[in-house]
Parts: sequence; structure tokens; C-alpha cells
Amino acid sequence: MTEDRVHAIGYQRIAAPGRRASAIWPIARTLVTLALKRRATKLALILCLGVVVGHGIWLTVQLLSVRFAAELGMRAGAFRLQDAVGNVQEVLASYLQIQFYFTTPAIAVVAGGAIADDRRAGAFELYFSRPLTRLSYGLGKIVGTAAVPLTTLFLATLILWLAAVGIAPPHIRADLWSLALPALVGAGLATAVLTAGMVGMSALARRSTGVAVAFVALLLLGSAVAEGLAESHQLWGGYLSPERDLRTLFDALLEPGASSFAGSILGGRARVNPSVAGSALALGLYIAAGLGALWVGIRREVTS
Amino acid sequence: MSAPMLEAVGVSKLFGQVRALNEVDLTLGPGVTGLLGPNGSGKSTLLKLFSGQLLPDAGQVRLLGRDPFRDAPARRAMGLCPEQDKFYEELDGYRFIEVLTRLHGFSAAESRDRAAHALARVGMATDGKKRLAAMSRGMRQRTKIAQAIAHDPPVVLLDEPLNGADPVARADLVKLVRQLGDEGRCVVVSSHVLHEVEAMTHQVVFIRFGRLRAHGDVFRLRGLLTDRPYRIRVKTPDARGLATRLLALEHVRSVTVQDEGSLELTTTALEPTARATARLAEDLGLAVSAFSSPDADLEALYRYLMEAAG
Repeated sequence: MTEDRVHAIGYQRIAAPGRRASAIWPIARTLVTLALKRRATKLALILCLGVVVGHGIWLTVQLLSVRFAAELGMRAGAFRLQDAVGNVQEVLASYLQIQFYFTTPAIAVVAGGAIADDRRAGAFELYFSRPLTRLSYGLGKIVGTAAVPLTTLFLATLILWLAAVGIAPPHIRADLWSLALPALVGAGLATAVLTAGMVGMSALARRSTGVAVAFVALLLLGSAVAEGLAESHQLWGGYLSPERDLRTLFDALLEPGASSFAGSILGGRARVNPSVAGSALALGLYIAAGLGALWVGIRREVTS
Repeated sequence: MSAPMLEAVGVSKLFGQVRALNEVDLTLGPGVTGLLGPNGSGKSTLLKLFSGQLLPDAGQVRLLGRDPFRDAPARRAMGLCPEQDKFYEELDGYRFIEVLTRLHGFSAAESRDRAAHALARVGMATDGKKRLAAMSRGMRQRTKIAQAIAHDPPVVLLDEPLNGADPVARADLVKLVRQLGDEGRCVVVSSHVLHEVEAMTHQVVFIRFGRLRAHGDVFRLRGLLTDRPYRIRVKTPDARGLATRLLALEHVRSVTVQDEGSLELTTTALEPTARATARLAEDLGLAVSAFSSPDADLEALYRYLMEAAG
């Protein structure tokens, strides 16, 4: 039977949209809109903003000091200054590491219920009685969830780097151009790890609060346990910590060097895993596990 | 007969060891159809199959000739009002419907227009501005119906659409459902409230234990239950005199005089007997103050069919 034959019996043909808009954006936007109505989201994002501002101040003080020292011809002084305030690489590496800690609870608050809440509310019925594929739904949830780390990690890293390029004296500026790609790759990796883990856990659960608590506990407390293992000469344990794996990659990408005085105030350079490739592989597996859980979770709801 | 809009051909669905639907054959065209059956009879499963959320274990389901499970764009032709009513509590009615309408591929602006139109149609133009959490059960119910019709689908599936609605809202919703059917849409209403279904349509589908028990017009189906003669109650001053004459009628099986002013008869043919009774009363010069058949309606049909199903 064709739609024309049905049309002939009397009801109006469905007004087909000219160019069909993707279903991904409304799903992502709804997730973010609902999250922004919660006070906890605002608080978590304010804390993330604090990290950006703090590192922005560090970066500004650092580069202005170097600039004035250079203008005054204090070459030797500038070197001592660098020991005190560090370099741009160190600021960016520190930013990514610390912001990862703050973004973890933020993403948990925003997207803990991304799929869990849909399951609890019975929204799958409403979604999948529409021309929506599982893939579009999954991508919509990934995009909505990724909005948090994309903002706090990726976009903020880009802003800090642009600020650095803008403030830096000419002799440093040239070196900063080559920092953009490693910094953004590091931010992208952290975004992928947080997003995949979050949507994966949300896809398998029913309650957003439970998901949020479990995600933060797994990522931060689990990482602490893995750190402990690595520090007690069980080096393999270090690869179980996504946070340590990311730190390993941040250091490999940005090469921040030894901790400055300013950096040590923020905890200094923590130890990393011996193998960068091992950490990259561990992160790849972690991301794959998260996306796999997402697929399983959606299939479980919409299946034969 | 017009082309089928919803079809189930030999459809069976198993959940583990439980056979939720068993070789159901059903064809539905334009107009309103009531889907009736007790809890666990398979109504919701059938709606989920029609709405493309489940895949049958055997047989085929067709929505305007297309497979609603595998062919996602086919679901554009269908609107579902689910029974569940806990959704995005923080969204207002307009935003809620706009989000869902956008999933059909409409732009944000067009989705907003459609949301406004649909909410106005269900009488929620003002209350639609409230958050879902702040809406009464009846308002949520109307909002759910609005989201089901916002994209103007030819097929509308309504699962318990009148739950929680106040009497005025119920009357409005019954009218709306009839309008949707009159527009040529295929409207399937699953409900437990028989008199409300009866107010919407005389076309019904009965399901019990996953099997189709009956499908068709209520009065014709009732007429097919020949082992269940109709009861007719008549109030008239000389019930005994009328009863004597009624016993001679062809279809009348029995007549019981309950008191001097009323009688109850059983007959295998409702309409001829009703006409003959009126004629006899006229011949005898009797005034008939009440004439009713307590088991010619949907409720009686439902009871008899469900009793027969064990």
C-alpha cells in the first residue's frame, strides 16, 4: 500500500518538512536545557569556571612577568622568574589535569541521567515511536554529554592558549604556536574519556543520582586506588586509572618539564605511567567500553 | 473497503515463556477503534508492535504498508500517546511538544507552531505554559495527546487517553478523538473505561490471553452471540397483559413479570422484538414509561466475551 492510496481516503497528507533537521540536536539540546535548570549543575560549572580563571591569572602573571623581564633586559632574571612562575606548557598541563577533576562531577551532574532518566520516565516509548534511529538517539546523548567537557576542557584550553599567544612577548610567541595542537589533542582525549564513560554508565542504569555518584567514585576514587598500586611498584595498576593515563599523555604531548614554584602550589607534577603507548591503549579501551555500554543499553530498550 | 492503515498478519510475540500475543490477524482502516481487554491481555504489546517498538516473533506488522520496526521513517505517519506520564518534568508543555516534534525532522520554528496548534486543539493553549511537574493529571494527559497529533499523523495510537481527566476534559477529549476519526485518521484507543470507548466509537477489538476474541461493530458482534439472548425491560401499567401477548412473538424466549408495572423479556433478536413490543403496546393502548436493554451495550458484550474466554 502506498501513502497516496491512504491519502485518497480523506486525511491530509503529512506535511513533510523540506529539509529534515537532524534529530541529534534536539536530543542533545534537551539534555543540556534540563541540566541547566538544576542548581547543582550551575554550582559545578562555576567551580570549573574558577579553575579556568585561576589558570588564566597564573598564565597572565607568568607571561607579563617574562615580558617585563625581557623588556628590561633581565635575561638571567627571567630564567629565575620561570622557575617561580613556570612556563605555558606547565600551565596548560596543570589546567587539563585539574580541570579533569572538576569536570568529572560536573559531567556527572549534567549527564548522569542522560539515558537513565529516559529509562525511568519511560521516554523511550515516546522517542522510538518516532522516526528516530538508535544511532541518532545515541549520538544525541553523546553530543549533549560532551557539551560539558567540550566547554570546560576543550574550549577553555583554546581560550587559555589564545590568551597566552596574545600576552606572550614575541620571542616566546613563536614557540606557543606549536603548543595548540598538543593541548587541544589532550583536551579532546579528556573529553572523549569523560563522555564515553558517562554515557556508558547512564545507559546501563536507572537513576541519575546513582550513576553520578558511581561515576565520580569510579573515576576519582578508583584512580586513587590505581595510583596507590602504581606507587607501590605495581606499575600495571597505573594503567587502570584513566586520570593517570591522561596525565601521562598530557605530559607527553605538552612536555611541561619540572614543576615551578607556582605549579607546586597546585600540587606539582604528579608521577606518570612509564609507557605512553600503554596509557593510550588503556584510554582507548576505556572509551570503547563506554561506547559499548551505551550501545548495549540502547539495544536493551529498543530491541526485538 | 478502504485500504488498511494498520495490519497485523499472524502476529505472535513472546516474552520468555509468556506468549503475549498469539497469531493475531487484524486490519484497521480509517476511523476510531477501541482496543479492549483485561490487564495483561496483550493490548499494550499490540500497541508497541504497531508503534514499531517491538519486533514480532512471528507474522508481520504493517503501518501504511511499511514495517514500523525496521523502517524508522515509516513511524513519521504515526503518533503515540503512551500510558506512562512521567517525562521531562522541568519542561513546559510547549517546549516538551516542540522537542518531540523536532524528532520528526521539523525545524525549531515549525515545531513551535505545531506545538502551539496541537496544544490549542486539546484545550491547553494557556495551561501549556506550565511545567509538566506543575500540571494536573488531566493536563498532562491532554499534553500527551497533543504531542501525539502535533505532526499531523494519519495513524494515532492512544493508550488510556482519558486517565485522570476531569469530566469536562473527558467530554472534550472524547469529542477530539471522534474528530480525529472523522478526519479519516486511523485512531486506536486502548482503554478500560468501556462507556468512554462507547462514546468514541462502535468499532472495537477484544483481546484476551493474547488472542483476538472479536473485532467489529459492537451491535453486530452482540447479535452474533446467539447463546446470549437480549434482555429487554419494559415499564407499563398493564405488564401482565402485555406479557401475555409478547410470549406469542417469534424471537421471544421468556417473559417475566417483575411487578404489576414492569416486565423483563429475553429475545434472540433485539430490533424486531423492540418494534413488535412497541406495536403491541400501542394496540393495547398502554403507555410505555421505560424501555431498555441492559445487555445490548459494550459493557455486556465485553462481559460475555470475557466470560466465554474463561
